[in-house]
Amino acid sequence: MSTLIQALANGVLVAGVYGLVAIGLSLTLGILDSVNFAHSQLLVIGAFGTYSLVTAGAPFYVALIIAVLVTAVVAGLMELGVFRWISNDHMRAIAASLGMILIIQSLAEVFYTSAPRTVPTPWPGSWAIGDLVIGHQKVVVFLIAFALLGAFFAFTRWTRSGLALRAMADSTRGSALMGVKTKRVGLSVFVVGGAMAGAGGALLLSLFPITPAVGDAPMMKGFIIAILGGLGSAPGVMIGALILGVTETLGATYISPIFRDGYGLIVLAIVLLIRPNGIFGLTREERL
Amino acid sequence: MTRETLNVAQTPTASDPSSGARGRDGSRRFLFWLPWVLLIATIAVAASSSYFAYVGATVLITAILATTLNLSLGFAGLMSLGQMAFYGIGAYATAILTQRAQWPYLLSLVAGVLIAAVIAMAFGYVAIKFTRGLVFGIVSFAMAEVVMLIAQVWFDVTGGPAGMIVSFVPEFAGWRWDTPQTYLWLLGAVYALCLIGQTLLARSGLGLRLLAVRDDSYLAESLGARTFPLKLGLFTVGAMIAALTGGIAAPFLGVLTPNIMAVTALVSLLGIVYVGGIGSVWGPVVGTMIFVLPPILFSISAHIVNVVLGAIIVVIALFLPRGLFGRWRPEKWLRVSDLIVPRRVKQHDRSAQ
Repeated sequence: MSTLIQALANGVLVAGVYGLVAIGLSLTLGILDSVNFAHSQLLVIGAFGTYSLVTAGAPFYVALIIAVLVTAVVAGLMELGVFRWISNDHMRAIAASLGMILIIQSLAEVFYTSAPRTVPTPWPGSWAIGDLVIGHQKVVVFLIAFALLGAFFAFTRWTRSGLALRAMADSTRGSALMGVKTKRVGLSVFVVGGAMAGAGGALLLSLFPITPAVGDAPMMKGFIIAILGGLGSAPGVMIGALILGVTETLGATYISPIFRDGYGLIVLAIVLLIRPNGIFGLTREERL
Repeated sequence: MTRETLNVAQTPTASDPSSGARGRDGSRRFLFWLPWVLLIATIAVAASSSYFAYVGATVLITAILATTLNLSLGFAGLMSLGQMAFYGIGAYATAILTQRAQWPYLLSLVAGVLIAAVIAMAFGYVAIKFTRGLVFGIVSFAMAEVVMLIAQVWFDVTGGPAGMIVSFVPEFAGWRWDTPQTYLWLLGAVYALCLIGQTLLARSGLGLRLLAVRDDSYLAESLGARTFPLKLGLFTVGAMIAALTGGIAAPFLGVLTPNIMAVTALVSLLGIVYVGGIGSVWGPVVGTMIFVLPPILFSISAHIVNVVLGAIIVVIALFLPRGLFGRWRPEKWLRVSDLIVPRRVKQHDRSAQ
């Protein structure tokens, strides 16, 4: 029983970082219809930016904020330089993002080598509740992640800009005709998604050692979450992240830890067969 | 995409004997055969030393896999991101059946191809029916990932993450496959068959139907093309070719690890097909050479090479969206009938009529 609760707790706690990666993917795919596989590399930039600043002597959370800003700028440049021009063609966008993955990941390899890097945990130690052991930093990461996701959800739900965002998810042309500045919204989607991914990278660094390949696994998980929850849906991302985190940890605890990355894929396959547009997805046929 | 279809429709007129000058026909014929001559010459030169033969065989393996991806992507419009799983299934099945079950090599090779075919049919039936576009891509990627994880977890049979050592040498009536040259020629033959098949496909009615399916599935269906069997068939054929390559590659590689099915393999395959030109016959092999050769031949850090390759892909995506061989398609410059009957004779026939 205590194993079960511990597994559930770990699953819920790990979901936060996954969600931060997934939100940017879900937005770019759901709202701009542009596939950015290189989104995972923003996580790499966020993580290594934080690492550099922390090793240079900055406090962790200051480093985090600076790294997030840098990542947001890089994401904005990606949109301005590449995705703005090619988002109408999935294959072009996929190819371009593969190119950017190669560039950023190899540069990270050149500058940081593939040795795992760590920073001192900002808040070491853990709480013990009965048999349950929960690391302090894990809880902090979870709270920051879900606060960011929640804030974003509130933004889309209750502000005019958020309304413009949701309108664009329905129809880019329609919202452009109604006076939405679609180019500007597109840019801001990339910037916000990039900032979230940067924060995800920095928070990941506070929990685990990182290597230049740190973006690879969260990337796939991000896609799974984005599709599970329904593209472009902020609550979908939160629910999807929780489902994925819990499924993975339960599977790893009770079935086989090596197969860890496979459980989410199986859940995804089942959900797609039942609800092809995801749990919170729009029912439009041609969404993808 | 409409342009693509137009291009196909126009080409026969352009190469029609009545409209073109004879000199132009000659250069068309020359350019049609040029890549073939280059390919065979390269293989013949590479066969001169074991090292070059080894490099050549490595390039051919990747080129064949890229071609199978190109079949799905360029002809059926299926974003099949699981191609390397079928390669892995073929390689593992052949190696396991030969080595652990003591089957004859050829029999295990056939079995490996059939296993891949059955999996491709079963997966494709569900996935093509229920998903399309990017979701198909992600579902097929998920399939590949699950296959890779099974190879990692099924320790007793596959040897787990550390992989298995393939120690047998295939032998038929005194012909031992023990030199890189053997594999170079074998893989070269498989690749040549792929190229011939694709060249014929690009010019056939079936190929046109496939292009229609790729460009607008709904419209093609409403015009009477049965899209589902076409897509499923092409997907399965691609999987079988990949598995065959895997089965041949297993004794060549000597060691099989689950990593042959990893994401990195997929990333380079996609890059290769895209840089070469989706749907083109000669694109994949040129793309493969661009991607595979520099790190092997030059002693530059692989990371620097990757940065350059990444930049190349981005530039091509931005400025040359159909890849290097997207518009320049030598394989379309002669009709199948031209290959059998010399053009001059045919022209004579026509003027006689």
